[in-house]
Amino acid sequence: MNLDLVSHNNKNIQTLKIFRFFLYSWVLIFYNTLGLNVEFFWGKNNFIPKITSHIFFGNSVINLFEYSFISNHPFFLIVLLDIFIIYNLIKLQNRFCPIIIYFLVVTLDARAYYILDGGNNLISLLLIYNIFFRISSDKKGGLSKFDSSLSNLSLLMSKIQICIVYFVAGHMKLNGNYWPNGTALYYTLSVSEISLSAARDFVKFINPIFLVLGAYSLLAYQLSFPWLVWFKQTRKYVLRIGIVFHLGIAFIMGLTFFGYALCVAYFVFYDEEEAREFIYRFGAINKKFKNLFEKANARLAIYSRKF
Amino acid sequence: MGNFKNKIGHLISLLSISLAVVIFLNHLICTLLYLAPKNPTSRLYREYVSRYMFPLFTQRWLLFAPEPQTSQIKFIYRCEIRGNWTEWKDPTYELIQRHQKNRLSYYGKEVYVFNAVARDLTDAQIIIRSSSDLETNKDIANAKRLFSTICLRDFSESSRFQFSVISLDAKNYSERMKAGFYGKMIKMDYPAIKI
Repeated sequence: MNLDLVSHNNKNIQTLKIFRFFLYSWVLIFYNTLGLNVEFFWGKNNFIPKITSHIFFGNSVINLFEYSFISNHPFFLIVLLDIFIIYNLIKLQNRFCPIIIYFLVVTLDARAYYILDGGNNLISLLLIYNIFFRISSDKKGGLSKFDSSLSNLSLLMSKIQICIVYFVAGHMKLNGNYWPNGTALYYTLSVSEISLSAARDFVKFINPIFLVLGAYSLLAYQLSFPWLVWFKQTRKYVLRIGIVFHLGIAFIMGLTFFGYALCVAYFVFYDEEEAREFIYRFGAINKKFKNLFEKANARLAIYSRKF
Repeated sequence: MGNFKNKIGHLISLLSISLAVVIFLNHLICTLLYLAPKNPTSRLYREYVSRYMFPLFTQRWLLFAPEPQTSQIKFIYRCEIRGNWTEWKDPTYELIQRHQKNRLSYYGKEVYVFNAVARDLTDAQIIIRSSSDLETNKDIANAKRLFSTICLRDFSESSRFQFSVISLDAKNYSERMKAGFYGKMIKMDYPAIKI
């Protein structure tokens, strides 16, 4: 566990890089996907009532939807968000982009509050911590002690925040009715209309032992996550199980963006070495694709010459 | 002189780091108190904590805890075309089918909007006592606008529409083998409305 909070050189650069990349990828995918039907979610005549006292900013001056240009052209905000995200991914050191990105996300969320879930909530919290991340470029030398400690503390707080989410979820489930009696998975999968219909049948016909075992495993996972994720020996298993679990939520329960948001959050737990390895592997896959593409291009060129 | 400058620099960085640590600890303690079950400490600092946490750090862990959803609220509607009523339809049916086919789409979130509009009506327990209720209530006005748009989209000659809010309870686990997905159903009809 790296708790070196006051080093001049930020020792978490690779971790911050991949975390920011995946955090922004969630934002890009979410808002651009919903942007395909922008009028329904953010349009002037949509079916989400306007709230007079803004959820996030009581002051209407900074609620951009109060301005007629924005309420008539909400797609402009998504384009603006895309531009700032791409710019910030290129210029990782920029300190103002994360603030603007957070502000744009909160503004869009406040107008379409019907569609928000726990995933949006977690992403907006992580975007706040992202404001304080400092990714120094090697050319400009290290960071000031204040910047470095602020960045490290924000990263630590992001980790604690995710642990809190799991602990609160596990604790509340334990004190509920359906999780301790083992029937929670049946209700979760059979009531939600966006779950796969095969999953609905599955929980109906499956032996109750597996249903109880599933519910208890999930409880055990949520309650042990906040402890086991801090140790290198157990962390990789905890995160792998979590990724499988959340991809299951995404595709079986149909809560795609929620599942992806939790997978994104896991990147804060990567240490520098793991992050570097991840980037290396990602680069290797990228190279393979490039080679394949070049080969395919060359073959196409040969064929086109033949004909 | 150089030594003095160094000392001042060291002091400033120490102070700024201490400030960052204090801010961090304050945030951490407030988050913990905000999310912890009611206890003497959270009661004592409730006002400060809620002032600090709202609105930026509000945390609503709807999908994480504590109980699974055991009921569902949704709309059904029908439109009148030249004096004949269509069948009752679920406005989210097609959206759900599309979402099942493509998980990376916006259809699932559209379903959220329909269900939220229906939930607003039941949360407020709006019961139509007089015709003026239909005119004045904001939630009903929103639902009216929603279904007049849908009816006109589907049938340009629609003259009236009607919607109902239905609350569907999950079947108890012990009754899971009985036919149908849902157990108890409560239906709340709203009068037919002119477009």
